Amino acid sequence: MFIYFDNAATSYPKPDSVKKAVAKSFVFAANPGRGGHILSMHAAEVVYKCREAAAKLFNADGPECIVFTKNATEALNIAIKGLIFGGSHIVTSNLEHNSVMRPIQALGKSGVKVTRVRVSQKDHSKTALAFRNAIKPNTKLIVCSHVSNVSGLVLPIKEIGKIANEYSIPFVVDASQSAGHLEIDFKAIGASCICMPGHKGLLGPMGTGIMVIKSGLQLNTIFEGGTGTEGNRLVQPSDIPERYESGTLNYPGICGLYEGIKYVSDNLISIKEKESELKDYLLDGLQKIEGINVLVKNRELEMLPVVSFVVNDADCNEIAAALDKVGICVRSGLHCAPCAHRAMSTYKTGTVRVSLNSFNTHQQVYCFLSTLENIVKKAKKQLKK
Amino acid sequence: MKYIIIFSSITYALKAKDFLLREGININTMRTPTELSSCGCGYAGIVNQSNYKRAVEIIKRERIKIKAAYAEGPFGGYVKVDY
Repeated sequence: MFIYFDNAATSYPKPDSVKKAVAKSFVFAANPGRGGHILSMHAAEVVYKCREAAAKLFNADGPECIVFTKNATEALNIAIKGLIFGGSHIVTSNLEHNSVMRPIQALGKSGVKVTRVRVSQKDHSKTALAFRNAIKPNTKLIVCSHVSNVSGLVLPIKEIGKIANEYSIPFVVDASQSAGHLEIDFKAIGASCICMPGHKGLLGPMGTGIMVIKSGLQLNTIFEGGTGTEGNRLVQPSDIPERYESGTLNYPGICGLYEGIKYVSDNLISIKEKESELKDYLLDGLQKIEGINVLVKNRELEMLPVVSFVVNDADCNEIAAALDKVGICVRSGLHCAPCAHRAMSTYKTGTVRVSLNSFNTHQQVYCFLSTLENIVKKAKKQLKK
Repeated sequence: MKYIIIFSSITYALKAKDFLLREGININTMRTPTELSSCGCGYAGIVNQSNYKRAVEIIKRERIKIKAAYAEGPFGGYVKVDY
């Protein structure tokens, strides 16, 4: 038996088209955007097509508004540190991953203050109001996740975006768990930047990420270097996307990502339906197992199939290890989101996280549930002894 | 006669190419010839004389920045042209 339920960390498997594109990238390509020869120009065309496909999928202002990064974390660092300066204030949620919290923490050294807004697990209007109430005269950024990587809860980013725009505050969205799973309309959200990995829901290779940036918005750069443009000047160029893409791009990764984006674009509706069905089946099954405590039980708000739970009196790492022994891959611990665990009172224990995608099946969920039930029963017996 | 349109980056050169091809205008992208490049790098597109005006219209309509434009001179070399 082999079951992969760790898609919130990276998706597996990748579509065949992704694997083929990565392999092909080594056969006919050179550095894109640098040379004028056939190999370089071919690579540049593929990179451009990937930008174009991503811009279409996310309704960006144009292909040039797609910045390639190595992952969502890099994209978030570029966006957050590019927008914020000393003495200002940031509003974020209490469910954020360290890819948001650590850059903010680092900015604290230059006097940047942060307010962490409590996200309601039941009522989006309460969450939106909490964001509004947290705004101060010196608030220069609102940043929040689209979907919690711990509980799968979908945050009301359109409402938060409206508030940000009402106050003319830049709005950065971490779409690490939503890109490729939900429709994301950059313009409708009113975001300044949306940051995402290429290797999760977008089904590309690891080492790929995207920052979608609003046309006309110029961020301070956090790194500089060669861009293949304005090579006679020592100042970083202002034109996007090159301004934020110093150095050689991950061309093999982008080739794979392009195929992943095409796959998602062609199948997003069925991906959503399948994942929603699997999530409901999983949640129903988990709630029937005695001793399992699912973090977010209610289904009043939209959730993605990222489900965390604790097992009474059992170490989550041991549960994950027992599942691994029989070929089921899940993740345990804090999932790099200590703030979210504090908010959900699981900071000390961590959780077991099960994250599905559309390549998973009902049969796999069934196998997982029955295996987990046995593991939990054994754990109870051992405790009694 | 060929016309050379110079863009600020490969991304904008390819964006222009994309829009022009959609409207049936052929354009070849290439590295900007050294004598036309003030920055030592950059990309350009070559179009036929008969397509030049229409090409510039489309490029401007799509808000793609043109850095400069040149026509091949009758005796070699390039002559700066309006865009």
